[in-house]
Parts: sequence; C-alpha cells; structure tokens
Amino acid sequence: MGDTTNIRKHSFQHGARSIIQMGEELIGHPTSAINELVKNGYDADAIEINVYIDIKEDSKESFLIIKDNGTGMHESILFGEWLQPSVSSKRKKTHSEIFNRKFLGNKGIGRLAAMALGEKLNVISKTIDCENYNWISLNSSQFQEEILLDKIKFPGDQIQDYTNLFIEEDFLNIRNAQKNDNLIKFLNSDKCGSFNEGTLVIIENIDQSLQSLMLDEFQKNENELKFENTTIMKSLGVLITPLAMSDIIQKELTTKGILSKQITIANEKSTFKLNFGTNLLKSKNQTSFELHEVTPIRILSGYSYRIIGQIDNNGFLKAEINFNRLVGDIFTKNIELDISDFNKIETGKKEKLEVLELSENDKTKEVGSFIFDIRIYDREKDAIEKLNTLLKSKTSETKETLSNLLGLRISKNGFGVKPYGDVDGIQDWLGLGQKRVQDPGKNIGPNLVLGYVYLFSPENEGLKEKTNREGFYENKAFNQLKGLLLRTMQEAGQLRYNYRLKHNLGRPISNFNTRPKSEEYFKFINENVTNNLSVVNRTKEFIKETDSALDNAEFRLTLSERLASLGSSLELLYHELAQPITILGGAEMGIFDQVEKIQPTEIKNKIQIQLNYIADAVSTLDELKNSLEPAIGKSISRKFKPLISFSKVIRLYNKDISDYKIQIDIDDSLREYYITDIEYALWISFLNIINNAIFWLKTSEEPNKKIIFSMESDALVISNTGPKIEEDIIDIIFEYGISTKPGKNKSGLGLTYTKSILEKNNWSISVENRNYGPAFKILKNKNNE
Amino acid sequence: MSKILVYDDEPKIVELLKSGIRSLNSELKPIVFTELERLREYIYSDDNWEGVKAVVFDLAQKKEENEGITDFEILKDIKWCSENRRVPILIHSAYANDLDELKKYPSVLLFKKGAHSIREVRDAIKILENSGFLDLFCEGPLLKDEVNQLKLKLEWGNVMIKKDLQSSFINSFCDENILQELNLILEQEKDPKRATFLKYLAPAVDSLKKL
Repeated sequence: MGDTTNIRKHSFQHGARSIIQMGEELIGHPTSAINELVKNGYDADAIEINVYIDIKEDSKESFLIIKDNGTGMHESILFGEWLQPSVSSKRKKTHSEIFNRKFLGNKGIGRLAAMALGEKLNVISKTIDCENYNWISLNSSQFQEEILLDKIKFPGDQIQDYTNLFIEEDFLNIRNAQKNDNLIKFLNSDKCGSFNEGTLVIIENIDQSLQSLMLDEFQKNENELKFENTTIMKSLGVLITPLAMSDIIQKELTTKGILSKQITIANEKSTFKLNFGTNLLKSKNQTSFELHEVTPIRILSGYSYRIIGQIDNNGFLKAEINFNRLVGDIFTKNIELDISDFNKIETGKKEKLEVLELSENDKTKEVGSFIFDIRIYDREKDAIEKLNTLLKSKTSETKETLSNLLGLRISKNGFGVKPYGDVDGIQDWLGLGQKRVQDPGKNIGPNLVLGYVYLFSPENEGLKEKTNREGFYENKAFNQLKGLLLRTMQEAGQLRYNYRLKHNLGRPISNFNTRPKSEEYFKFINENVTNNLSVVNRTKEFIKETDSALDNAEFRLTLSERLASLGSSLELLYHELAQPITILGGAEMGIFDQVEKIQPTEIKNKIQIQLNYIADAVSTLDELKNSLEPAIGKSISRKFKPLISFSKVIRLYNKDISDYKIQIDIDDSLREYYITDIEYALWISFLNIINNAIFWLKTSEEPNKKIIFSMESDALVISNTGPKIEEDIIDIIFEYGISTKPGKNKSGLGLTYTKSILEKNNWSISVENRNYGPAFKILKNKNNE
Repeated sequence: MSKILVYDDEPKIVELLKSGIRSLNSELKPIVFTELERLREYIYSDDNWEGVKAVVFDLAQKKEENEGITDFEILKDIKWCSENRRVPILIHSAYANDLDELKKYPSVLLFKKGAHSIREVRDAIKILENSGFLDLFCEGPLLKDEVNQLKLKLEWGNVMIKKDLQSSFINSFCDENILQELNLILEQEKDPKRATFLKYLAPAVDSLKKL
C-alpha cells in the first residue's frame, strides 16, 4: 500500500435552501408547526404559553406570536446551539430541569417549524440571569438564494427593550421589516409585555397556508363559528387533552388495580396552561386582545359507554367498561381477556414502503404495554339531548361538535400525536368504519368514538414517529397496536350491542316483536266510521285474518327457536356423555381383567353376571350417544354410509320397534353404498320420517308392521306399512303446520323442516302412497352438484 | 426403559389408561399427565424424550369454535410431535372424528372416546408393540444396526440417514389401516417383528443400499 498521509479530506457544505427544504419536509401542516413550538415551551418548563394569531387581508400585516414563560435561552444557546439545525440538547437529556417533564420535541426542529409559518421569524429570549433580551431575526426569503448556508447573515444581539425591534427605524431596516402598529399594540399589551424569563416567537408576514386556512374558516362561518371549534383551537385542545387526562386516567387505573404503577411524565409541581386568541373572532371588548384558555375536550364526560384499561405486552386486556347510557342505569363491567390472537381479525396487512426507511431492529420491535380511555357516544335523540345539557347547546350544534371532535387519538408522553383521529388527518386509522359495514350492530363506527391511547417512553419506543411529525411508521409495533385496539373495540362493541338490545335502543326491536294492537285499531274504526257498515265488517274480517296469521307465525317461530337451541344442546350432550361413558367402559374392562382372579367360583360368577349387565348398559349408552353423532359438526361434508345414518336413527326407537314388533327391511344395495355429503341433513330427515312412521305404525292394526329402507334408481326411499297419507293433504304434506296426527303436541313442522334442510343441501324430497303404505323418496339434485 | 406418555385432563381416564397399559405386562412404562403445561415441558425437552415409544393424547381444552372449525390447544403440539418425534401418536378424544386435519398425518391414530375406547387404545398399543412396530418407529436395535451399516456405505451421517428412513417408513403405511395390517402379521407370521421390519422398513433400507 502507498503513502496515504497526503490524501485530501472533504466535507459537505449546506446550501442556503436546505433550511427551507428541511422546514417544509419536517412539518406537514401549519397546526403541526404551532404544536411543535408549544411543545418547545413545555420542554422549557413553561407553566403558561400564549398563542395569538392576527390575520389581516394582506398577509404582510398578519402576525403570529407564541410566548412562553419557560426558562428561556441564554445568549450562549441562542447564538450557539440554536443556530445549528438538527442539533438539540434534548438528544442528550430526556427530562426538563425544573419539572422533570419528559421531553416532547427532540430533534431541534422547532426553529424550522417556526420558519415554515411565515416570512420573518423573530426569537426573543431571556433567562433569569440575563440582564437584557437576546434576540435573533431571520428572513426566510434570504434562504431562497443559491448560495451556501454559512454565507447568509442575519441580525441578532441583546436589547434592553425588545419592542424597539418593531418600532425603531434602524431596527426595522436591519430586519428588513415594516412597522406593524397592531403588532406593537399587542407587544405592549398585558398579554405580552416585558418578562424576566421565557421565549417570545414572533412571526411576521404569515405563510399563505395558515393565512388561507384561517380566513376561509372564518369567512365561511362568520356568524356561527365558535371559538372551540376553530381548527387551531381544536388542534391545541387535542394536543393538551391527554396531558390533562394522562395523570387522571393513570390514577384511575391504578386505583382499580388495572395498572400496577403510574408512569409520571412530570413532577408533582408541574402545571401547564395554554391560551389561544385571534383577532378574527371578535371579543366583546374590541380594544383588548382576548385569549382563551385551551381546555381538554369538553364532551369527555357525556359519554354513553367508556372503556378504560390496559393491554400488557403479552396481549392481555384488563379493562372496565362503564355504562352511562341511561339515567338510573349506570354500572361497570370488568373485562379480563387474552387478546393476543388479535391478528386473526387483521388480515392482508402489507408492509408499507415507508417502513423500508427503518432499521431491521425498528421494523420488528414490539408495541409494549399501553393504556387507553375510549368513550363511545350513542347518537339517539335522548343521548344527544343529554349532551345538549352538558354543552349548553342545541341538538344541531351538539351533533356538529361531536362530528368535529370524535376520533380515536394517540398521545405520547402526554401530548397528542398527529394526525390520528383528526377530522383533517386520519380520523379512522383503525378502520372501524370498514368493520362497522361488516356487522353494523356489533361493531362501533368511528363517528361514535372519542378516545386516547396513551403511550409512554421508553415502554412504547417500538412506535417510531415519522420525521415530518405526521404519525408513526407502520411497522410491526404499529400493526400490533392497531390489531389489539381493534380487538378491544370488538369486545366493547359486543357488550354495547347486548346492552342496547336489552334496553331496546337503536333499532325498534320491541316494535319488531310486539304485536300491533289490533283491538284498539278496530275500536277506532268502529267509533269513527259510523255510516259505512261494510268498511267496519271488512276491517273486522281483515284483523281476524291478520291475527290468525300472526298466531301461526308466532307458534312456528317458537318451535324454530326450540329446534335451534336443541341443536346446540345435542352437541354439548354428545361430547359431555363421552367422558363418563369412557370411564364406565374403562372401569368395566379393568374389572373384567381382574375377575378371573376371584377364587370362590360362586362369587366370581355372580360378579361376572352383574358385570355383563354393566357392559350391556354401557354399550347401550354408547350406542345412544353415537346415534347423535350426525348432529355434531353438522356443516362439515364427509364420506359416510346412509345406511349407518339410518341405523343410528333406528337405534333411538329400539324400544318401540321391539315392543310393537316392527320389522326393519334393508335393501342389500345400501350395505356398501357411500356418499360424500353433509350427514346431518339426511340424519335429521330420517329422524323426522321414521318418527312419523313409528307413530303411525304404533296406532295401526296392520299385523305386518315394517319400515323399509331401499335404493330406487338413485333415490333413497323410506317407506312403511302404516296408514296411507290422506289424499287431500298428500300434495301439501311438506307445508307449514300440516299434520294429521291427533293431539295437542303435533307441530306440523317436522316434514317442513326436513324439506327445508334437504333443499338447502341440494337434495329433494317427495312422497307417494304405495299399495302397502306411504313412501318418502330423497334424491340428490344432479344439475347443481 | 421404554416409556409411553399419556395425557388426559380427566384423572380417572388417565388412571384407567395406565392400568390398561400395565395389564399388557410389557416393558412400556406409562408416564401420565393431566395438565397440558406439564406435558409440554416434557415433550419439548430432548432429555426427557429418551425411551419414549408412543404417546396417547386427549385433545381436551377445546378452543372457541370459529366459523364451524373446531380448534384445540394441543393441536399444535400434536403436529409438532408428528413432525419432530419418531413415535406413533394415539389420539383418544370425544372429538376424534371432528378433526379431518389430523387424518392427514399417518403417524396419528384416532380413537373416539366411548365405552370400548380404552380397550381399543390398549389393544392398539399391544399390536404396535408385539409386531415390533414401536421399535421400528423409534430407534430400536434393528434400526440402529441398519443405520450403522448405511453410515459406512453412504458417508451421510446419522441424521440424514435417519431422516430419509423415517420419511420412507411413514410413506410405506400412509394409505393403509396400519393396525389391521399389523394384526394380520401377528396372526400369520412366525416372527412378526422380522416380518414387520421386512414390510415397512426394509424397502427403505434397500433403496439406500442401492445408492
């Protein structure tokens, strides 16, 4: 190798435009830029921050002010580190000095955010130790030049009265700015004025994006717009709501035993107040600048249901759901559930291209444990009226407020993460709307939800925020978060559904099941139609017909319900019987193996005989259990012999068959005949047909009682030597309610059900009277196989 | 020592299966479990596995049914055993007929719980053992001899040879009722163990010898 000591070394030099480009790329929306500046104030231990935006038609006269009373910047910081973009002391430290707040901004992007908000950025800052204010003034148009960044010079120094920067000609010239009387008025007002410590950010000539956003909003809704519904106020409200709630919710969860330990995001002395004002909403006092305290979202307490809890890092959900829907029926239910199977409802997830930017480690990190507080707002009239009282608003206003505020949001270390849950962001990032379409009753739509998911450092570091502060990368941790929350919402949805069903909320369920009051209606007609007897008589007749039809429908419905519950009971019975029968059989085998060892022959023989009784009884139980087998797993197609299904049914009637000497004739061709189909359909048909056959054979005087199971062409035929079916009903024997059986307990439903289940499985059934008795033919439809 | 693992969450059934296996007077010692976690600790440990010749599992602990598909906690363990352990797996369960997916594993034998099922399981173990099938399945002396000879010839190493033999062995009975076939061998052959070897493993060994 040659001498390498003389090889030249190089370095990058930034172009001036890089500052603008970084600002534009890092900040996705003007509200995000304002939020970043508020976060900086919070990180500087401010206890109050004022945001004021003054908008004039001419954007040159518009200005924006963000003033915090935090610890401020010493000259060594403002003229040192502050001038080094992407360098942040927060990278080294994680908590603020006074209140031990977890830092929210950590990339030194606040200053770039500010540059994205307007043309002229002025930063005035002072620590408690500084005698004068430190100031710096940047003009973004300077950075449009095609020169290197270090060639751009801008003014900055110390000053005793910072307002002079905006009043005195010399300062205006050096800042290349124009005098703005309104701005000076604000700086001299009680909302700003002089300060001992803190930072004041003044942006002159507001960027067009923010200027248009505000003007459009105010011009469109001049008379109706409420302060709390403005985009900036909402954005700030959403930003600080979790901060106000984080502690309260954690305390609540700790008291309930859901959370073992609270995660603090600041020390106990930390308080924080955020105010916002704008000239566009005229105050009563036209001469002063009015600021409004940004408060947590007000509708939080007017929920119908609230699910609050934790999902731990094993996917275990521990939560409670508060029911607050109906006055006088307020209660809580606990939910403890393993939902680590959440990915079963989250299918087709593809990794987004943006994830490729992440390191392998960041792509595959887990989400960790997190807490959530999700409130659900029913939209029925009475629920809205309850909110009207709370919000002191009219129904239309309440609905508007709901639409504007609802959404499931994410908070990290106490501050909202944009754009999740925002109306102008990704309001339905969980895909609740799509789920709701799939099952509207049970799934909760995005327009009913207001909630926060609370994430903390370092537990949830697996979620990586995008550099433009517009959400998280959709890596494994994010998909886990989504899946677990969706699963939680599914549980909450089911509980809400049950509650609403029970209390007849939403759809008119009670009307669905309640019979119309026909007598009252007839009374009304009778009293009011006095001069037309034919109308009264026709009405009476019609009501009678309707009542009778409804009686029949009710009766059939009850039977269908009984059948449905019988199906699931049978399945349970079948499996539960298996256990004791197996034990009986095994014990019988054990005794049988040992019985030979018994010495006195007499005792051995007695035991042997009784053991045989047990063996017989156990076998009978086993056969009875097995005869129910076709009713189990009834939707699965399998290969089976129809003859076996037939025999299983016959087994259930062994006693009648033996008592009434009924002969069972089987066609030989059926002995090795297999089909692949759903056995349940045939079994239930055989059961109904044989049940009828046995009934009629028992009552018959016929000496030669027979049930015959045969194959005729491709049809399975079950016939018997019982009485023929009466000719006047043979054509309608499969219709609802048709039965010639005597007694009250006939349903007239068995053959109807048989036909229905066979047809559903692509079989057809017909009946005919043969010379010896009735015959049912069951045939597989060939064309649709 | 030869071991047979027995798992059922009903202790009475475990006891009856244990007595049934002991009544065979064979060398098989039943190791019983009534908790799935304990069973898992055992089957996933290579140290414990030494000498295990067969397993009898109940499906037990049914998971929630999803769209008509029955699912069980233990299914994944059964599949794992079928793929990683050289033993026949006898499933003794009320749900044995519901699980079509287990039918595709030739080493899994299904027994539906009922009056005669414990007897059937016991008799199946007897057939598998007396026919020498358990020794073929695990590493019995016959298989060890053959592997040693093949190792010298093929220079493949133990693992590859065993894997190849195992797969040919399983394929040799995947389309037949193995218990019925082994019973026939027991009834008809003087040296059933040799006959079982010749029918199920020798063809695989021969095909390797010819390489």
